Amino acid sequence: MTEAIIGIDLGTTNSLAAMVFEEGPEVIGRAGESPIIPSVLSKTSNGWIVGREALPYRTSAPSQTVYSVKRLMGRDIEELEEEIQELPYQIVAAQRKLVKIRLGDHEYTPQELSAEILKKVKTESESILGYPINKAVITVPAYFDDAQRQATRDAGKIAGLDVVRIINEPTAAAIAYGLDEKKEGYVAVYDLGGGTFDISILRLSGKVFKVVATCGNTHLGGDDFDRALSIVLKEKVKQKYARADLNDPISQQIFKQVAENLKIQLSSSLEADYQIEIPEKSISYQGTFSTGEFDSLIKESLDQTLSSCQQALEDCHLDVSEIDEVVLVGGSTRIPSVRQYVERFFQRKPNVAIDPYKVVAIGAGIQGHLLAGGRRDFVLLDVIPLALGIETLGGTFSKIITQNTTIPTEASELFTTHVDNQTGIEINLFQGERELVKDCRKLGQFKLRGIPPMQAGLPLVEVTLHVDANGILTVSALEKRSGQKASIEVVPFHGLTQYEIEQIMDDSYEHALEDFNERQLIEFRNTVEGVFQGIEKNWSTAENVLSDSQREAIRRQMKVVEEYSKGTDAQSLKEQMDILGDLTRPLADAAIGNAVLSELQKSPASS
Amino acid sequence: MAYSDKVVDHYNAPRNVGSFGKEEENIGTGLVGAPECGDVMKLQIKVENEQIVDAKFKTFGCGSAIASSSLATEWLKGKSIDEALTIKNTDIVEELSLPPVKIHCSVLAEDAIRSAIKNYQDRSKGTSE
Amino acid sequence: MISKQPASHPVCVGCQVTMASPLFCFSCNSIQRLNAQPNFFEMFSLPYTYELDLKQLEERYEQLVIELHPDFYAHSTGIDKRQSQESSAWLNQAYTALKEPLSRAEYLLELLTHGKKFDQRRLPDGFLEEVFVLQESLEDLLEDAGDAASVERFRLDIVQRLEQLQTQISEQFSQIEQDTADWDESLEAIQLNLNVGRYLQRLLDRISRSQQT
Repeated sequence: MTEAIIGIDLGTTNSLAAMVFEEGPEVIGRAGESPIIPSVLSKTSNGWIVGREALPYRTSAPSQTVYSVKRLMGRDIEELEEEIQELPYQIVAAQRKLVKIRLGDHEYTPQELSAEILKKVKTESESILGYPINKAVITVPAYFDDAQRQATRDAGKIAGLDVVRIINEPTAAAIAYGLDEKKEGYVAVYDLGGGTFDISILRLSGKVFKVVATCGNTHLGGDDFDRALSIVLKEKVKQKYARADLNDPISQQIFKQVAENLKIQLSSSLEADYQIEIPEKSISYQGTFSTGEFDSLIKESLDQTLSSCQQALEDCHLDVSEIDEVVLVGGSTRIPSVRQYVERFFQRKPNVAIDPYKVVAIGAGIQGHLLAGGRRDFVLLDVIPLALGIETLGGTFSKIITQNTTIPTEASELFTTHVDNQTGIEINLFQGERELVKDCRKLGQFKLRGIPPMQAGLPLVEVTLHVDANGILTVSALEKRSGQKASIEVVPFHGLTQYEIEQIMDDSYEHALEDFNERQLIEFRNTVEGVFQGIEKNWSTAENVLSDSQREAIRRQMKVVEEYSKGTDAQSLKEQMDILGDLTRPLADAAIGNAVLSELQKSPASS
Repeated sequence: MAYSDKVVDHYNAPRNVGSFGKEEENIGTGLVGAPECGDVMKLQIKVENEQIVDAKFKTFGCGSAIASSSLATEWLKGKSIDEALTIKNTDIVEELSLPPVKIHCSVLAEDAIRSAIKNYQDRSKGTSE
Repeated sequence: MISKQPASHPVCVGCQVTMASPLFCFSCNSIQRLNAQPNFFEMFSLPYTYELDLKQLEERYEQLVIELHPDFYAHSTGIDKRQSQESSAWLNQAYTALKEPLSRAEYLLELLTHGKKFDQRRLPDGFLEEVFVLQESLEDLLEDAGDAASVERFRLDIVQRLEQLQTQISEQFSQIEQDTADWDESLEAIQLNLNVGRYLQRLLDRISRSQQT
């Protein structure tokens, strides 16, 4: 087998990686630790802090800490107006209506920030596995359009990953289940995550996993529940502290976190207490919330998910009774009332055998294994989630490839000129399901050039849209009368151009050495702390086994290490730590000896 | 310009939607269909002294078909029969600054105009005889 | 006469064995390099017929799709990689076109007429008026948002009409296969039915779109 390809679930709130080991597919993590990496990052004077370590920064440095960046991927400033108001970090408009996030005096694209999360996933995986990882399968919501998929792939590129394949999250989940149980029939995957909802219906038949319908909402998820909950909590606090301003970033974050915790508690009990402490405003509030109250808050959202389910069934002409299995994916499906809703709609108990948090990553890992040549006993056939087409007759949208078409696919359309000797045509490309292009997403503009000069209406330019297995679009054109290939220039409307990606990568390469030093420095400082604690703990042993001069030398070297750990040179710090390590070796040996001895004394066999 | 505001306007607020009452006289009705997509368009004209004094339409189809027929009815009002016959689908395409693709909806509008005029002429021939 | 068997039997450029599908040689396991999209029926080694064995279509689709999918060409040469993308796209197109009765009829008609087009505008007398009335009553039903049951009755009526249409088309094709009919006349009758089908389909689309929003 060739190089390993890992699967990455790049989530709105959490990310994690999985791969196929000798024993089978499993998430990549350390024993006894959660493999989940929160999709949170904070910019500090020491560089990026990503993942679990970044969580406290949401309240201590809200304007420097970014979460839910997935919601910004491949979108433009106008589409995000509502979102922007709720996010504590600053979003600014950049070229071509792209969004950037301003942190300090720097502006970052969502792709760059996602790349930092991916880098964290990559380095964590490498340090656990002990070998480098260069290739990955990354998952996206089924409902992601071309621009959002491109953005995800670009984030991978910036993170130094070869994104071999992009697969849909629900499809990944189906792989994880389907291969496990070798089922035949129809599977519905209900995926309610932090920021998005998807329903996909797949047909499993022999070696083929075929998506037959997909439907969803890119703006519905657990974050919405948190938001609804924090609004209610805010109102409650307002009743007690009428004059308090609760709209500053820190208060917002405190409410968000209380809401998050409350939601989690309400998933396992009928009632939960909560406490809101905002010391800066002398606010201290306690209360109790019931699942009944919570359920009524999220009812509307859940109804919306069910109408998407209904739509998906209609799209593939199936009745609810023909679904053989219902699979739940995404953190929000842990909420009991979500499960009840799904069960009532599909008239069967959903399958939750695989942890909804892990199932997507595991599926992506299995797909990575297949792409690496590890197996070829199944094939995954996805569909395009939204029609692709062009702008025609006065701003109306003309579909060329319809929704739910199996990919890869291609389709052609003939174009002609309307002025004599016209040599170029401009075509605007859109994706969506609505009648007018203004309600669809503009993906880009093609400029056809090099059409042979002819009388108006005579040239026949055949433009072909190719959609690859990742759901990503490319375009080609041919003038049929002359057989001449027309040249096509595609200007992406939301995404980054090749040049922009290269520039970001150059920048990050220049900083790579610096970054590496910083990463090491942080790592070494943590180690120093651990070593010092170990020495103090065993100092009584030291008094027995070490000479005065040995002990003095250790104390001296500890001071030196302490000095170096305040500096910025990771390499020198490491050298001084090694010296300390040599000095303390006799102590360590004795300490281990003591530990073994005490273990032996505990064990009855020794008596 | 990405798309013509005029067309969007005609789509969002189509003019002259409806039909004339069955009892009204001097009406010509054209009913045409688009074979490519199954759209149907009904266009009616009211004629006095060989002048089109009013026009109405009802279209079941995509946005561009609605916009084209709405525009067609606007143009028809005040024109003589002969002038109306000179309206070409390309005029509609041009007026709305449309990209040169998929013109079947404007063809549909032109067909509907012709068919309505023919129907009026057939009927008036019938009554004068 | 409609041939019951595929017209041509392609030969593998590699091992010279006659292939079941021009897309892939199962004998030497090699993807075939092609410049143009092959005939849809021949891709699946199926006879040119309207009464297609759908189970067979699906089985052969599944056999081919797992051989051609780009996921299995990640480490191949550029040419094979591109061909797998192209051939998979063709395969998916062909499968979708043959699976649905109306699009299958349309494709078959095109093959049988060798590209000669019958009038796509022609409709039975009074049909356009009928469609207009149907569209108007559907509009009333849809505006009356509470009346889901009536909309469903309306939908079932249209579905039934489409099914009748398909039965007719099937009979017309089978007459041609048995060579008991005047070819041109029968083919034209099929075209007329397909023209009607598009208007009925449009009514169904409108119902499903209204349910989406």
